[in-house]
Amino acid sequence: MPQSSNANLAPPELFVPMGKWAVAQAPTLIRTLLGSCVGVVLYDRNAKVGGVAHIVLPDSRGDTALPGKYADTAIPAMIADIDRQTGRRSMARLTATIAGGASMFQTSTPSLNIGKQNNEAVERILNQLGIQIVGRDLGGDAGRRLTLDTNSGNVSIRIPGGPDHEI
Amino acid sequence: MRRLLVVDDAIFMRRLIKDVAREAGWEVVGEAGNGIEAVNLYREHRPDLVTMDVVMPMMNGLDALRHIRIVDPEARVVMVTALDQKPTLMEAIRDGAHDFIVKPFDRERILALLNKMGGTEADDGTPPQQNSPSAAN
Amino acid sequence: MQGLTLSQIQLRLIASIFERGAEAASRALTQWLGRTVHLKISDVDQADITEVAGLLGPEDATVAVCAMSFAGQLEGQLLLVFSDAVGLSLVDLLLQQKPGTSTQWSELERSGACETANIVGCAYLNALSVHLPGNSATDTLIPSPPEFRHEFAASLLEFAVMEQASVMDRVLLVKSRFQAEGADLDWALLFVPTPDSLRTLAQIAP
Repeated sequence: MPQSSNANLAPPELFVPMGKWAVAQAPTLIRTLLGSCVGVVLYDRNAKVGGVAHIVLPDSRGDTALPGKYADTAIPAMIADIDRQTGRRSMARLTATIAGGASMFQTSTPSLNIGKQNNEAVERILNQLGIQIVGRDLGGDAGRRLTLDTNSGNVSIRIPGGPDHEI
Repeated sequence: MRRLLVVDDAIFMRRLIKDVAREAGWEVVGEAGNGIEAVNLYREHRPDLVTMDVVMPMMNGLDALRHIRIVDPEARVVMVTALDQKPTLMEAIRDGAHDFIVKPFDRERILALLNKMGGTEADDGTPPQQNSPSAAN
Repeated sequence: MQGLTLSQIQLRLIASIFERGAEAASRALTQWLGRTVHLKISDVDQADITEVAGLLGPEDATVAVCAMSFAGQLEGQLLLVFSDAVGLSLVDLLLQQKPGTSTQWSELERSGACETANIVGCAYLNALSVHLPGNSATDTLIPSPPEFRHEFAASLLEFAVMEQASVMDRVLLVKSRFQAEGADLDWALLFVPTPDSLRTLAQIAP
């Protein structure tokens, strides 16, 4: 039974479109829908602050128009945002979860490898930054709905027609 | 009884054609969902007529047509396809297709074709004609 | 990456060619279903990749899709998208059953939906093939067999625009809506060219 009107309120939700990232503190849910793109979740458990980036390509090659689109620009930008939210350097406390990189169309050859290249780039960058990857859900041929619960740090994934499962 | 082989990757469309064919007094001796199955079933059954889709997995209907005409140069194959593009039509006719019906078709269109094909005992050797596919729309 | 930005004149010309495709698809669909259905081109515009997710309604709605790729004069993806309820009522209509008879996607229902996509898609491509610049005696626009899927609306859009998104920040997709007896049907047909084909389209009106 509801204790108060506040207890009944669903947590605020943030949606992350393709080529963007979002950072928020508890109790916000951050959500994105992935296909071939890779979603990178970073979470600071002490501060209960986390972020989700929806990355399209591995390498910006100097392009600055849409930093959220590329692994090499999105991840540092998201860390900087998390730092701003927490008011300190968070990198050492961050954990990462990555998901996505599916391919639906067998015929679209160039995109076949984009998912794989994205995964490799993201893993390499997180490694270089010393951020531990605590969960992965990659590949396959179905889209994914990814949700970060900034309150618990749990990352749940749903595929079409399936239930949510945590990774 | 005249014997028919129905080739289409869509079971839905095969069912539609089979219903009309049975109504017209044909025996459906086989149905294939791709060109490879079609060629194998043709070899096995030697039907009097084949209705052949064009866009199919594994082997398309144009390739299946060519293979079937190698197996049996007298084979009578009617293309039944939603693809109504001149080069495809020309290629099919050049490779020996008897007719070209564009989906969606009226039942009457298929019925008329089957009655026509059922009425002549043998290939009369006349060049095939395009039965104005767009008129079906 | 800015990629290729089309002018208003180019977009209008492309739209006028796609209108021919939609008209042909309307005629084919009307005959196929035995009721009057119109396809209307609703969008020929380039959208920022950041705006793509919402183009088919709620991002995480699960939609049914019959997906075809096409090759020839142009290459890309053609997607017939509908909700489960709408797709199953379409199958009832095709099978001349009482509405509500089909309740799940078994092989026959999937096949009915995909054959509808094949008929709509081919009619669309047939007309485009005639009206695109080129030699209609030799040029073709051939689809692959349709593949039935369930997918999240936003994931589907992402899969579809991925090739364009890999070389530009704004993507072109041509969306057609369906109408019957003046009311919108909850279906959409999406035409998504590859980047190379987008360049081909741009050359129609240099």
